[in-house]
Amino acid sequence: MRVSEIFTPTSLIETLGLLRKHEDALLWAGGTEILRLRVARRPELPPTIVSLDKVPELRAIGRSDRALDLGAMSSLAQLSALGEGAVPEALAEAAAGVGTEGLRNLATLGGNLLGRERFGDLFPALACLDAIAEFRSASGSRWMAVGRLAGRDRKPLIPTGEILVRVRVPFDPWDLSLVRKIGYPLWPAADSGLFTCLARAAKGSLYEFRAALGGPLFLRDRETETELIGKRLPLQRRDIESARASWRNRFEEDGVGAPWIERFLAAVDESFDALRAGASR
Amino acid sequence: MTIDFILDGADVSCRARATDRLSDVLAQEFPKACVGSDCRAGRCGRCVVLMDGKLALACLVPAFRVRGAEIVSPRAYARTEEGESVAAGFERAGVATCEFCTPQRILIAGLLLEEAAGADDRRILEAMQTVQCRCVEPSALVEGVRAAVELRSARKWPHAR
Repeated sequence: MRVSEIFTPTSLIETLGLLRKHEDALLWAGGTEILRLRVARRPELPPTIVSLDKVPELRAIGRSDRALDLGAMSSLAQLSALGEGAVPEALAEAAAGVGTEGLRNLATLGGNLLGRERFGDLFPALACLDAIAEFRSASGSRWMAVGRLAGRDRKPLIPTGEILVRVRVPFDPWDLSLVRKIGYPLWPAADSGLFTCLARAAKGSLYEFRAALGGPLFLRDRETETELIGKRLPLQRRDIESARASWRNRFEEDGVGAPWIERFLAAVDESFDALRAGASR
Repeated sequence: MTIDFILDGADVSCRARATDRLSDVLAQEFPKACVGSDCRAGRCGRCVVLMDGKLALACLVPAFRVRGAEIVSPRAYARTEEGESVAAGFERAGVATCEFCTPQRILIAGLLLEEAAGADDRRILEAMQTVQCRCVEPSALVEGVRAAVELRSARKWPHAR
């Protein structure tokens, strides 16, 4: 069996140098997903692995009045331990719901966000929160919306030759922050995922609305969300039916299977119910 | 590669492939630690250890990440004063965990007892989920941890044994 060569850089510059030299290297963040999917006693892995745990730039956590900056190597346990008010509720809830504590201490933000096989639970939460991600390569730095890490085929779109350094999450006030696990809660499965809905009201109307479901596919439709904005609260039945039909049509056009569409719509219905309950208070 | 680390308070060294799982390294090279390596997918929790003071599933930790780390096995923790106080709490609450999960449960309960804010029921249940064993009701584990807290706060351990 081939033995992997392990590099353990201690700075971002050194990491980028290694990436340039070893283009096919596997970047090892927490590694939980890599090992979870390879249950053989001696897992088959690429010949070159770059371990990121000793790169301090990837561990930094900082905050300003407007946003929270999270290093890509922040553990999921760290995110959920930041405390109420220090991290957006939807993100804290999504992080706290991943696996068990023994896994969350190992798994990282970057690893969860850049899963190759499926979208991690943080993905829909971060996409709804309008988080942006900084990627670095030898040629410089670029920021991109987390939502753009989903391709047109609604599957993960992982940049190559770049390294995720940090994720910036804006602090916006939300009247509704709903996070729901779909399927079995502890481990990813073919029929499991995470739904997130964020909404804000202003002057009796819906001012902002975002809904996304991540799992093997990423389901979100901004046009339907836009159609809802400005509607009076509580939402009328016809508004809800119109939005449901719009989501259904768009997902069907993209070839999304009926079970996933139904899971999405059921979670959206729960969000509408929560909105109605909030509006009536 | 040679892996040097601290296991249950002792400096140890062994040869392993860099990508071998810590659970397999422990099971093969250090059988006295009694760390299992069953599912190799982070599910069963039989391989849970303390790694640098935090709970970790050893089947999801590659050997190359263990260099210089401090590992505490559940079996060794259960023999410490802290571990024995947890076991006494479990016994007082009538929590009869099985051979499969007892050391792991004691390790997790011990960590919960050390949390500054004190663990509420939800936190206890959440932490105990790391070990997937149905030998006792989850509510019984809450009672066990509560009993251990009482024993420690009343200083009934170890002096009043």
